[in-house]
Amino acid sequence: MKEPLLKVIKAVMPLLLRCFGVPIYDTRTKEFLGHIFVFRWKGKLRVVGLKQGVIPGFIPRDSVKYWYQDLGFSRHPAPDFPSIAKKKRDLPPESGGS
Amino acid sequence: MKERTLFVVLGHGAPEAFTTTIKLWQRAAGEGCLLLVHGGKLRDFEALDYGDKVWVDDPRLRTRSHPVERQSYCGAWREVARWVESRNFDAVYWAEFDELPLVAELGSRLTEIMSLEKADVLARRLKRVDGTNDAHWLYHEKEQSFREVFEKVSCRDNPRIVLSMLGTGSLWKRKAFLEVAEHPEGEPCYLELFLPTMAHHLGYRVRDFGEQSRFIGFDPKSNDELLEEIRAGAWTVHPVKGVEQERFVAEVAGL
Repeated sequence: MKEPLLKVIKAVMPLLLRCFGVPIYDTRTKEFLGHIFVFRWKGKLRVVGLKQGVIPGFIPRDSVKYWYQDLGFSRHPAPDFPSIAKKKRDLPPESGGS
Repeated sequence: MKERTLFVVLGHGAPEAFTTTIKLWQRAAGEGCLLLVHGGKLRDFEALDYGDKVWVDDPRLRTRSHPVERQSYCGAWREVARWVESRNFDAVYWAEFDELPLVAELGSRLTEIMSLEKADVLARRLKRVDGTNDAHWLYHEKEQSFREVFEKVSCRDNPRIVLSMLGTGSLWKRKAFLEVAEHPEGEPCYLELFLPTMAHHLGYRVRDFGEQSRFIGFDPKSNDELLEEIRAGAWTVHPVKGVEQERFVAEVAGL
C-alpha cells in the first residue's frame, strides 16, 4: 500500500511544486534553483523539492531589522582548488599536515 | 612521450556479461591497457576469459543499497594499486560495468582535458557538498569519525571541505591513485564522498570533466536517449543496463 502511494506522490510532486511551490534563487549568483515547499516539522523546517546541493543561510542586509530576517539558499562554486600535493611533499615532516 | 592510461572496469556478473564490455573497452583503451576487476563470485571470475583481471573479495563492495550501506571501493582500489605498482601507467581511469565507451583513443582525449584543467583527478558530476542539503553528506556528517578521517591527513587550509562525485568515470594521475589507495577509510564512508574528498585533502587538484560529465547520469536511459547522447558527442555513456542495451550501444558505436 505504501509503495504505490509513494509512486503517485513522486509522480505528481513536480507538478505540485511548479504550481504551488516557492520559487527560490541563488542568493550569490541570482540563478533560479527550483520550486520548494517548506513545512513546519517537530520544531524544525522541512524542505521538499530541492534538487541541487544548496547552503541555507540568513542573508546579510543594508539596514538593521530586529523583527524579521531573510533566509536564502546559495550553491558552492564548482571545486577549483589548486594542487598542493607536490608542495606538501617538499615540506619537512613536522609541518606537512598544517 | 605519450601518456599511458590504464582503464579499469569494475563488474560482478557472469563471464558472458563482459563480452561486449571487453570489446568496447579494448577498442577505447588500446592494447594492454584494460584491467577487469571482478567483485562477484570467484567461479565467475575464474571463468572470465580475459588475461588482465583481478578479483576483489570485499563485503564493503557488495552492497545493495549503496549510499545507505556506504559502499566502498577501498578494497578494489588496493588490489588495483598492487597491480599498477609494477607497471608503467601514468594515469588510471575507473569505470563501472554499466559505463561504455564509444570512441577509440579515449586515453589521449581524457588526458588532454586533464592537462587543460591542470588537474590530478577528473571526476563526473563533481561538487562541493559540505554545509549543503546533499543527502549523502547529511547522512555522514552526524558522525565525528567521518570528519576525523580527512582532518588527520589534510594539508588544506579548510579540512572540513567535502567533495562528491559519481562512482564511475573518474581519471586519476598515477601518484594520486596510489596515494588514495594507501589510505583506509576508517569508519565506513560512501565512496562517492570518500574518494574525491581524500584526494582533495591529500593536496591533489580535483576537477570536473566539464562537457563530458553530462553523459554520465544515474537514472536509467532509453535507447533513444542513449542515441541522442551518442550523436551529441559522448565519449562514454552511463548507465547502460542489460545485454540488449549493451548490444544496441555497441552497434551504434560501430562495433
